[in-house]
Amino acid sequence: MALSRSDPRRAACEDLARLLETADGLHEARLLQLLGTFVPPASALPAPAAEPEAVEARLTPIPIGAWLPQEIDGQLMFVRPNPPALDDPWDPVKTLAPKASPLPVRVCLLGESTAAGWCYAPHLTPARVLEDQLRALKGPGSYEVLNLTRADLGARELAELALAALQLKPDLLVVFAGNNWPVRYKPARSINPELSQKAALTYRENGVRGLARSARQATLQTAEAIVARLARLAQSAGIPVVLIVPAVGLTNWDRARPVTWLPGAASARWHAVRQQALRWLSTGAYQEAATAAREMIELDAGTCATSHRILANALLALGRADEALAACGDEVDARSWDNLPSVPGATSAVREVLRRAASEHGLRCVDLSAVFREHGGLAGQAQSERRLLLDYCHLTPQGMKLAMAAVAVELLALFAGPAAPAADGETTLESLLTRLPDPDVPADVDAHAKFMTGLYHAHWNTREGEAEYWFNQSLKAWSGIRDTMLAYVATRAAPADTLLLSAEQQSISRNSRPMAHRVWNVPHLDGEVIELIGGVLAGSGRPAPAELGARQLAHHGVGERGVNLLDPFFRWSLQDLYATGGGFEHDRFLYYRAQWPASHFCFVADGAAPVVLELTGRLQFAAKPRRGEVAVLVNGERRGIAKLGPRWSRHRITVGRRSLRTGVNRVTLEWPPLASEGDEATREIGRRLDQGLPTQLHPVFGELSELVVRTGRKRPAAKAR
Amino acid sequence: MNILGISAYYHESACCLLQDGHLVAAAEEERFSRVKHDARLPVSAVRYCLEAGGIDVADVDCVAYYELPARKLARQLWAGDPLDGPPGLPWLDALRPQRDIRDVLGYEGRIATFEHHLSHAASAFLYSGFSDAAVFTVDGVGEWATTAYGQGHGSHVELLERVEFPNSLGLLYSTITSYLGFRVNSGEYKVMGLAPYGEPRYVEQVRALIDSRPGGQFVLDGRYFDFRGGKRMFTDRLFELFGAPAREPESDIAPFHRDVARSVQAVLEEVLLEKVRYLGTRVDSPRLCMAGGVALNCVANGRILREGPFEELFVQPAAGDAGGCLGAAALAFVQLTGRRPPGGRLRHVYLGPRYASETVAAQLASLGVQALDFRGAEAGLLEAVVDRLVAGQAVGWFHGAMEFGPRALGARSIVADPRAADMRERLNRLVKRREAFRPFAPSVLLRAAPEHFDLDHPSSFMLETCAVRSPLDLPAITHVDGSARPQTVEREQLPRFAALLEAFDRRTGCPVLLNTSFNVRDEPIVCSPVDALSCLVESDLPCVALEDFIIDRAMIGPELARLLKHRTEVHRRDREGTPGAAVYTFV
Repeated sequence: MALSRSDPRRAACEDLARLLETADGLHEARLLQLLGTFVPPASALPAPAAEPEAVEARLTPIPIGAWLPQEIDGQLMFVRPNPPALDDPWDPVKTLAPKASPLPVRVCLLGESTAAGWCYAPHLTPARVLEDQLRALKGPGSYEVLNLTRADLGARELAELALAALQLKPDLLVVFAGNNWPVRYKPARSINPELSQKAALTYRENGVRGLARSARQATLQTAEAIVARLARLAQSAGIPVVLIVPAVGLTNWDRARPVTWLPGAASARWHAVRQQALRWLSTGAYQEAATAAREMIELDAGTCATSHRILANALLALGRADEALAACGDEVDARSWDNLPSVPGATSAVREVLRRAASEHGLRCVDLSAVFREHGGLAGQAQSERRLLLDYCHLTPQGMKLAMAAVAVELLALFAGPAAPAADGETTLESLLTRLPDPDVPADVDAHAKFMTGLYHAHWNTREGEAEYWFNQSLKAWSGIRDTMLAYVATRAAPADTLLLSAEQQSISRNSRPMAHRVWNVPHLDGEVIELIGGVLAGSGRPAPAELGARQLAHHGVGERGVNLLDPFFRWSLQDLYATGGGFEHDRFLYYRAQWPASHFCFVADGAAPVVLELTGRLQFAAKPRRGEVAVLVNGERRGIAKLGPRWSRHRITVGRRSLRTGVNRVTLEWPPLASEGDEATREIGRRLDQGLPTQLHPVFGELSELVVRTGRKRPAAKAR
Repeated sequence: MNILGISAYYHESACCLLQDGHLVAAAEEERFSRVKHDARLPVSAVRYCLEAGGIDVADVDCVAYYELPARKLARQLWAGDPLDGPPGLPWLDALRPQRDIRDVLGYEGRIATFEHHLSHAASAFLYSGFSDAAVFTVDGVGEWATTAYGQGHGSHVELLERVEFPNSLGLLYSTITSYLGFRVNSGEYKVMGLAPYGEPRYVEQVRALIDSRPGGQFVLDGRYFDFRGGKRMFTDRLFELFGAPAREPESDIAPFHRDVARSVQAVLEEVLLEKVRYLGTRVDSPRLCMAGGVALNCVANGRILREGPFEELFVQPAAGDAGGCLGAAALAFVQLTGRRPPGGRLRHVYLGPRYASETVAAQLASLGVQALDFRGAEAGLLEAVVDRLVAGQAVGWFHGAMEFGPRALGARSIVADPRAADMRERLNRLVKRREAFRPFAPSVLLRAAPEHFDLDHPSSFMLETCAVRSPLDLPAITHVDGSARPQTVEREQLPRFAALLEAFDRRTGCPVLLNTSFNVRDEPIVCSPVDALSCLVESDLPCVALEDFIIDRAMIGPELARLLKHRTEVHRRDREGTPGAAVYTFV
């Protein structure tokens, strides 16, 4: 295999490589690739004969989620490995066995986090509620419900689980899913140019609306495929399937996302209108806010969830519930394609596919939104929604009762004999609800679930007030939750490197709820939650002890060495941490990028000495270099400005001790407005998508390579961590 | 002047920082991400280097990248779209390194790129302290070159001749590594360690794979190799040549495999010696510098020093791709200043993160670990460690700044008594969870080295082997052929580790410790205190000396142990996009 320097192919390869090393050259190659006319050169290396692939047919039992097939005493069983993984999301039942006798009627419940019971699991789950209800109606030996649910179950996994579940010989499958089905554009560790180029074609034709539409189309195809597969499974197994159409929380969860680049001055205009709309909402000018929101929707062609949310909030305040609910539904749909951080939610397309499954595939359907409206009073009222929904989709105990009762009505209609419904009182939901007791939830379980819910809202919901509401509810449920709240605050006082571990230790020792693991385990100082908890405890007459603040100071307090607020630990909002890296973008950056007009950080100070903020920032631009002033606020008060340009520049702002609090302090940077360079920006997006290059769809208001707060004057030399 | 050197995108990615020519920080990305052989742009390593230098990206004057993307692309085009490569031809993008350096790092200034083998050459010569030297670099492949012959003089390094792809000693060795059932890019050490157990029965077969021409050139016989980036690197003809199919990974190692390992090692040494002698005819200097992944073959290095024409040898401790960032940074410094980096000879590689005792104390307290506290009592700490060593325990030793490069050199090490007959077997089985044949290396006080090893000069980086000639019986670090790969330790380089050796010597009369890397199989070497605790629970290590603290296993409660294991498991799950086990990374 000699390679000669005079090999003419080599010279051609080198010439081609030099061309590809230019922006135009790579662009041309990608366009040829897009059109299918770029064929990579045949290898100059020798090609040995291909090996035949061995194909092996397998007819063996397959795992059912976490349960692995195992023969025990000659019988096929499905057994959980021991010990389970720490983040094991499955129901903690050790063994599942195929059904061996006619009774009890076996129901397998499959689904996602909502079906799993979220923060109430494993003490209270929809599966347990359904089983209790059915047994209350038909006797102890009549029904059993196997819980095959877990958080983060994806569409494909659901289909595989349904197939695997048939090994248990169920009489019926109940599928409670759809919130995790929407397709969004995710960044790949290395971008696939072919996928990027498909997006480029769409973007060229229809801009971001085209991308949103493509994602919706993909979601529709996914949903239809899953439902069709479930129908085939049901038919081949000869068993009925009941689909539960998830209800989506509409009034108490805001799904804000920044707008993408729009042509001309539209992005800048959108943000300006948004600021005004928010001011109108806060001052009660709801009609004006609604008008502004409609302008935003027109600007972004309905692709941005934020616009719909503002409209919904305005309409709710105006008492126009039906219109508001429609806007909330549009918000869910708009969020689904640009979903960072990920907020699950069955879109209107998914729910429609599930509803149609009844007529198209002969499957039965329970539409929770309709059930909740008719029997739960869910009609755009925040309080009624909180009675049934913890957040955007997870159920309260009342919500579980109502949802499972509706399922029970369907199940009872399917079976004859002892499991059949009685002639009276069991064929309608109203009659069932009067007979069924409320789920039995111990006070401490209820309180923990509500506290977790509050944390979840604080971390992932952009709507204010919800976290505080749930924290207060948890205290009302059980006063002992105070210790858990204090323990959570205490976990934030651990050194950053060990915070997750020590938080996890607390979580394990305090409760055995698998969902708690993910809610507690955030790598974040969580200044906002510390404040909220402090306020809630103070309001209850039992404030947090001072030593917690002292511990925070000890580990995170600002000193001479300085604290880098760009460390994810010091972001004010956890959302900020996970909001970048969406479709086609790089998944990590060395520096901070602001996608909203204001950025928020926090630091811990003793309030006894002034601090210095050192900021290195710049303003991104698409066409002409941008210059502007960024205002720096501490605890809501303006403390200085930094004049930024297109290149990094360093600035210092001194903050006197009177402006500081002992404990957590909030730093806000208010960026200058965007320039009207949407045309240039969208052209650049198209160009980069063409070439399969990482592409940012959203404008960036400003960037920071450093934001350090320290006491003292001089910047000390770097030393050990 | 601040210069960042970066290597990325093919094997170990890494970053280093030169400040006014002085090397102040360097680290591999895998140590932070916990993804072994992490090849992504080293964002975390860059962040560390900037923090260590007390600067941010706006203060960087030049980023030096360790290879020429367009020239590499030319070779990739010539070799064709890899059979098992990523879809959509992402590798056509030769602008990616520079673009990502700007987009991902936010860097605005000058980017300099240097030829891959020139970066290797510079990483050796410009850190050797030699005023002049011959330079020999050998690896799998850079852009086109797989081997380069060069010379250095003052601040100037040049390459005089190259051997080009697909003719590659590194790929030859990797191919046999894969044939023997080990992972490419990490299993080569295993082949080197396995070799002394075998006989050179297949030397002729291995010689048939390579035609070493007079002068610097050699040619691989293409009928036996498949470098098209498919599922393996060899053809069926290799089975016919050796008379046996490839070994299945994790299956038993037979005498045949040991003999093949011995044979490929023998032929590699032969060819390297021959080429080094050739280099000696082209460059008039008594000194030799080496780099490139093949320069980590310390057995060959030992022979080169003993039998080659050069009197002195300097091998870059991070001779693989990670070390390319050092060379690139040094070349950039020369370009910008006309001067050579002023640091002289690279005396140590303790360039990574360090953790103050107070930081460690706070972390242990937050986890509820009741460690033994020896702050202000170093002598007590050392005696406590020696107690455990003498009792037959291995100790995880975590102190000071992390090493840069593949070797653990007393900062992130597991140490043990080299006199214990069963120590090697126990460590391999229980702690490192690796093959039983794998040898362990010793650390020895410099003053005592000549007494125990056939070594008459400092050898700080475990880059050469020599015979063990100790009056003591040191079975744990003596390889089956009577050789060892020692690290000589001086107080001025790493005071506490030297003090540990002194303490052990006082107690036992043995100035030698077994020193292996602080990690378990398939995990990167530990970086942070939490990594050390994770390794403690993941392995059967009985204890860890973590800066001024000793943590015995029993001090880690079951809950914390479970959490630490879970952490390791999550990192394992997060590993995506790492190079395939059986094939070299061609794109």
